[in-house]
Amino acid sequence: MMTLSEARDDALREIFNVGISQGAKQLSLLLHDEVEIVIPRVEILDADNIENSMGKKDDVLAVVSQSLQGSISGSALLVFQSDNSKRLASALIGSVSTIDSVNLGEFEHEAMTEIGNIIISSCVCAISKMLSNNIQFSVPNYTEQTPDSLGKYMDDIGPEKRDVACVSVQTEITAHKRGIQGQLMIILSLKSVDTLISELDKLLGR
Amino acid sequence: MVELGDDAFKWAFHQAPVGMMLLDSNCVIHSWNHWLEEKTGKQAEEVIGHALSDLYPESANPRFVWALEQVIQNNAQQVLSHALNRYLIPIKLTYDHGGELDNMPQQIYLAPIMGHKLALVSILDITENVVRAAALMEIAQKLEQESIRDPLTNAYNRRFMWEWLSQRKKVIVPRQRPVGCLLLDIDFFKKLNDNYGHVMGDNVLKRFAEVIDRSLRADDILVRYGGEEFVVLLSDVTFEMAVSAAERIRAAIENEAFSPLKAGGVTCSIGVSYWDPVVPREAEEFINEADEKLYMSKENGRNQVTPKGSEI
Repeated sequence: MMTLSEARDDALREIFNVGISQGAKQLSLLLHDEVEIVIPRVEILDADNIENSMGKKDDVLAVVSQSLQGSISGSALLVFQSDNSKRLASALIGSVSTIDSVNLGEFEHEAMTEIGNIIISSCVCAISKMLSNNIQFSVPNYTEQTPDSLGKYMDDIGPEKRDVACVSVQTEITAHKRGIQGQLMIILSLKSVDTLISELDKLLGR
Repeated sequence: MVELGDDAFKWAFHQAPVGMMLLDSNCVIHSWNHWLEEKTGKQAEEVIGHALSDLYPESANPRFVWALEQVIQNNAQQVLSHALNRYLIPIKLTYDHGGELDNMPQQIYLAPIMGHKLALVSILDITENVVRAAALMEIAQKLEQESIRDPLTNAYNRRFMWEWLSQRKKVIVPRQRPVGCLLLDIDFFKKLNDNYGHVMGDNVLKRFAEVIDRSLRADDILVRYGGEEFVVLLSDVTFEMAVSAAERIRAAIENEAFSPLKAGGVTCSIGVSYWDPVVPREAEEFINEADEKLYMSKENGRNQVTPKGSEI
């Protein structure tokens, strides 16, 4: 795992916090509720740690993903443990299905896609500004996956695992007095991470 | 291969089966395709140069405005789900779907037009999806109303129990076909849920039902009566048989391991009542009697069987 110096860590966290506070504001307006999002931790993980940090083999994860191209390339994923995703969906949009045994998940999937889009967008655009706004996004996509299937996002970048790193942003989302953790994972090529760090350093005046 | 000129792309834009418009950062319309002309009744010449929000004030909502900003300033992609937004511009549905829809439900995508400070706003008509979802929900609700089983444990539900008793009542006395009733309650269930979580709680309920079911005969009925309460109705038994069945079940539960708890970790209290084939009575009162005995089991320390008082 790449350890960030304190200065870089602070700067990165600040940038993401500013970005995500915009996202939280939008969610509050959209959902007519007080939504707060804080970022307790930002880390840069290498390929091995990416899979390990996502939970046990059989866990079901709810994932909203958008691919990134341009100054940096890779994928941005907003990942929730499936239970957390359901709790988030119901905390934010209220219970829609009155029948527990029937899974009419379409409504929740749609809503989670948009909620994920807002969070990914506000965070990634925050760093996009550092990179002259030269990042293109794909349309957001919602899937439910197991942790080991997240490997495909790394494969998309290149055949060599060691060429992949992940900017991992822990988020703590509070709505209706309920706190839910999600993880924003920006999976990038090492080259992209280097680009990011060097732009960050420019900002810090190094 | 045909070289596609600007003309071809212009046609593609207009012929697309979705609404497409190009907006700038002030929400001013630069382009408006045929789908939009047809659905809104407004021609391109009328709307180009005007702000979308002047034509449709509802579109100037915070979500859309922020999304437009993200797309034009930061090249982001944005999606506005029908679930959270309903629609961007009100378009009356012109065909009757037999439902209660008035305005077309829409899914909205915003994408950057690179190199120009413009956004492509696409409107998808998802009426079919919404109508289908509503129909499914209605069917699911109907099915649930007609169901006779508890979905978690597959035991019968209360509705079935009352129906069964009402039919059975017709033969208990006339044909001498008594019924024994066991009312079971899992001891300290709430504490279990609080300590181990609802998933574990649900697993305990399922297993509890399975253990009871093992000792029942074909004609016996297992009912999930409440959150952690079950009723067993035993057909054509003597009072003694009913009491010993209750004791067998109590012991079987006590001896069963409910992972992660070892045997003895889960116990139950039981009340027993009996519908004597000589005495006519009401079903509610028959169940209530078992309930009273259950209460006594709880009061007397739980994990025990309390039968009704002296018998025939």
